[in-house]
Amino acid sequence: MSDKETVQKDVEHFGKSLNRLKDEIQKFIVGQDEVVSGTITCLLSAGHVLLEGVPGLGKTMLVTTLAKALELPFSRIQFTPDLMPADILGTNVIIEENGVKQFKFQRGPVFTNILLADEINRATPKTQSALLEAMQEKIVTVGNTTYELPKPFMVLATQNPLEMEGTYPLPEAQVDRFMFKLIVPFPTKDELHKIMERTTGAKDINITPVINGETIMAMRNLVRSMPVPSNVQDYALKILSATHPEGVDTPKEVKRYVRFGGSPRAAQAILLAGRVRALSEGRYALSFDDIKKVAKPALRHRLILNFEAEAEGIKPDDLLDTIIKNIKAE
Amino acid sequence: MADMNDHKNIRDLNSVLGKTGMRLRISRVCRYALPVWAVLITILLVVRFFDIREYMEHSLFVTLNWFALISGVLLAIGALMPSFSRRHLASIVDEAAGGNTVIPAAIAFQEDGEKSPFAELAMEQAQQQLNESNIPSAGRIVIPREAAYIPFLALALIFLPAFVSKPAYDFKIFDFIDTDDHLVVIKADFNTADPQFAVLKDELKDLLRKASLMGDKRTKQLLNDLQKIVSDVEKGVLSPVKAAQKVEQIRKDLEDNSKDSLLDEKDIAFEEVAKNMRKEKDLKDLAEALLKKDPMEIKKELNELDKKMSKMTEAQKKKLEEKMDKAAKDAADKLKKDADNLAKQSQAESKKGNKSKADSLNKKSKKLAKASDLAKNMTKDIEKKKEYIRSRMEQAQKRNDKKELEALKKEMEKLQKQSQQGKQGQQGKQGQQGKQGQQGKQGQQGKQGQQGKQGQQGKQGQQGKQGQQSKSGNMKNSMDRYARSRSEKNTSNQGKMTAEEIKEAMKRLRNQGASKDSGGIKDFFDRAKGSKGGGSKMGQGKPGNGKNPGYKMGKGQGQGKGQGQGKGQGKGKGQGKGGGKGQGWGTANGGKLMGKETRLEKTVKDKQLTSKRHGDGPSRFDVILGASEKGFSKHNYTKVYVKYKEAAKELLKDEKIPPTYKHLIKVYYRLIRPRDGGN
Repeated sequence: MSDKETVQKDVEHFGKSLNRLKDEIQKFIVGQDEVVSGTITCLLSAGHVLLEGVPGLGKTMLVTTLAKALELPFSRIQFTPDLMPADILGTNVIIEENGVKQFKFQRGPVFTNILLADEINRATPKTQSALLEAMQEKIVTVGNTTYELPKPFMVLATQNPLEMEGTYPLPEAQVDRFMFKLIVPFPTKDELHKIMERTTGAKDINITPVINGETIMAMRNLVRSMPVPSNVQDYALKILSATHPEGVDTPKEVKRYVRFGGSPRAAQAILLAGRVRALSEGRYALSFDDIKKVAKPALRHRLILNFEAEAEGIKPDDLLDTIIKNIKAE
Repeated sequence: MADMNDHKNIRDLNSVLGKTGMRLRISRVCRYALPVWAVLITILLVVRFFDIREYMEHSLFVTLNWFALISGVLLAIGALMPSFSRRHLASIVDEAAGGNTVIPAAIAFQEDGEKSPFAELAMEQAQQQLNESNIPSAGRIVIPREAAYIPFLALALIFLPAFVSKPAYDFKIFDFIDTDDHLVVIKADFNTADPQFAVLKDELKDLLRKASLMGDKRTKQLLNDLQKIVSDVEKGVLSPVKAAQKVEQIRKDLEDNSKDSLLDEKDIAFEEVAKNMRKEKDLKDLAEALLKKDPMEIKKELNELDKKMSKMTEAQKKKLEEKMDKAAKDAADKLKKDADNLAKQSQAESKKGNKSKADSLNKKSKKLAKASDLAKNMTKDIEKKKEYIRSRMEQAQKRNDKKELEALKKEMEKLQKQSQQGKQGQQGKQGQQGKQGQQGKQGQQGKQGQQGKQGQQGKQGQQGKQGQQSKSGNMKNSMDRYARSRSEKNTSNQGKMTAEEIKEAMKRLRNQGASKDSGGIKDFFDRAKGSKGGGSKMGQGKPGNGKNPGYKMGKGQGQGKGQGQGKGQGKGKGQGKGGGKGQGWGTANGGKLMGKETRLEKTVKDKQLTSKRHGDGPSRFDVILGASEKGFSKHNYTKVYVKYKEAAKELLKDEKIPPTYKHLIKVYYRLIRPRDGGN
């Protein structure tokens, strides 16, 4: 089989697997297509997701459903103010083995494939840092020993936008480690009806695993093997530059309301996510539309707004819409 | 892996991009050229409306010129604009196809030389997407708003020259409006219904009528051309500058046309014949007409003669013929004698050594000799006359005398024409006779038949009866031709003078009342106001002294003192009873022609001063003043108007009066002509 045929086959398989996964998740999760797609995109891009939404929207349910569909181990950490780093990463405990007392590392909940960090903004920055280091490095260092985290490893962190008292908002540098920030919307009326049917009915919905870790790794490899056309990459970088107030093509609104723009990680996120999107639609190359679609979730948490923006209630999404409108794809 | 550039898909893609690029270029040209077009159209409108440059006569020619200019500008804009990159075109195609295609990626892969399987597959996919999507909508030539401009601009370009006509000129001949001085100012506002044009057109109409009656084709054509020029200037279709140029050319043509070297000989010959004919009672009126050299009168008298002859018996006719023949022969003999005498004198002078005098006498002698020949041939038939003309043509050709040759050719043409008309007349007459003869046979209509024949004869009298070849007929034909030649020359001369007037009028139009050559006019009006003129040679004569009143032009009109508002009102000294013509137009500075300027304020009451003339009824001044005070008395005013107009008309025939002045005076009389029932 030629390379071309292999690629064709792989892309086809990619699309099918992805659709299966989506369909499986949506057996249980009603609506939230963008959140589900974004989550899967991050999974396949080896990224992490920050989910933001009011309580009761099914954020945890989404993560657990995802984990079930992937047949991957899943852990959940409820972040509280008294949570310690050791509670996340693990700690050395004294155990007696063969009459000898020795320290043994007890792995923390981070040692899993899918980790749900619930209400991450409730833990102290110290505790947050412990997790974020693990997210970035995919290793845990305790004492002198470094432990590798399993692959694939994905963190889905949640935040509640309502409660600000007693919370520790993630520092900007930490937020940058999340590939996507997905806003979980309140379901529509029809969606609510369906939610009620599924969650309060007698019928039990079973989620069956559709893809495993190996498949996910293979899909990740395919994503990375797809070349990025120079004009599309150029477009992505133009968008990124436009988030910076000092940029050449920066719209005047960005200059007015933004303090800092996105980092190069944002560009990485955009390109990876764009590839996933292209492959999911059966295309062999990125399109400008892919970039437009993934730019918002990739950049919304990376735009640091100034006080004027906060005072006027300007949202990052509004500024990103302006940027996408003004920057012409060429 | 094959070279990406050879890929079939990329060739198809390039083709689509090429077409898209062309559409975009056209679109861009339309979008950015439209303001240029708008500016050009505005410039065109400004140029046309304010007549900054000369208007071209043919709107199509103008349109083509502008279209060529605009097309050139468009091409330049299109050529100078930077071309679109393939990537840009690809993005436009992608946008047209929904924005989710791999077309831009395929182009980038091709340009970057990406050789991965993904790139190849992307290329194929791009082709597939091209096939599926609606590519013609990519790179639309114009958006609807711009497309709406194009028909408008096309129509404007094509029809604008026809719609935007030149404004009619609003010029003032009398350009002095002194608001402080209550001098009566004639402010002529010549707008579209312009007396100036009306005067010129009337004159041309009159000339054309004469040319139609007794002029030649060439003169008629030239007069028609003049008429068209005046009409075009009045409508604003032709500029005064161009009109003046054309009129000058026509004037020259008329001058050439009026030259007839045979006419002098004819004048001499017919004058001599007329002197002999005057003695005869039946021929006296015709002789007087010939002596006056008035073509219309000659024609009239010839018709009268025909009528008289138709009532005569054969014996009477024969007698009359003999008298005419004798008159011609006597004239020929006398002229021959005079010619011989002059020839002898010329020889004598030549012997004395007075060459110039000898030449002059010789010329006169030859002229008289030719006149003698003409007189001799007057009663001969057309064929003999043609022979004579032919022999003279040969002689003229030998001498290389082009003027005489030209004149002889014209004469020959006239003879040919007369000869043909005579033949037709004869045929018509025969036909008529035949018809009438039959009627005559019927008895009741016999008389009618006879009359019919006579009527036909009467009609053919002037066309020549080839068949009869009577001497009187031949003589009358000669006189008829002479009258025509005279009429042609008169018409051409009058046409020439009218052309000069028109030319001057055009010059004035161009300069808005102050043409280069009308420095004299300005002086004239300055002097009329009372200020000293610039000493132009077109001065007025000195005020009349009353001793030699009337139209003694050398000393002015004799009205200087008579009609001013200052002294000497109503004294009538300047109003004389008429007299001979002066030597020429006055050359001295006329001083204050119109008397001292006075302020006419409300409190001032005009006082009519009594005249010293008693018993003659009111003076002319009284009539005019009375009419102006009481409102125009049509009857009296009309009489006065007519008399002065006729007098002025006579004066204006003088060629020495400059055409500009002539024209002004005509326009003046036009303005003051009686209305509402006046003639």
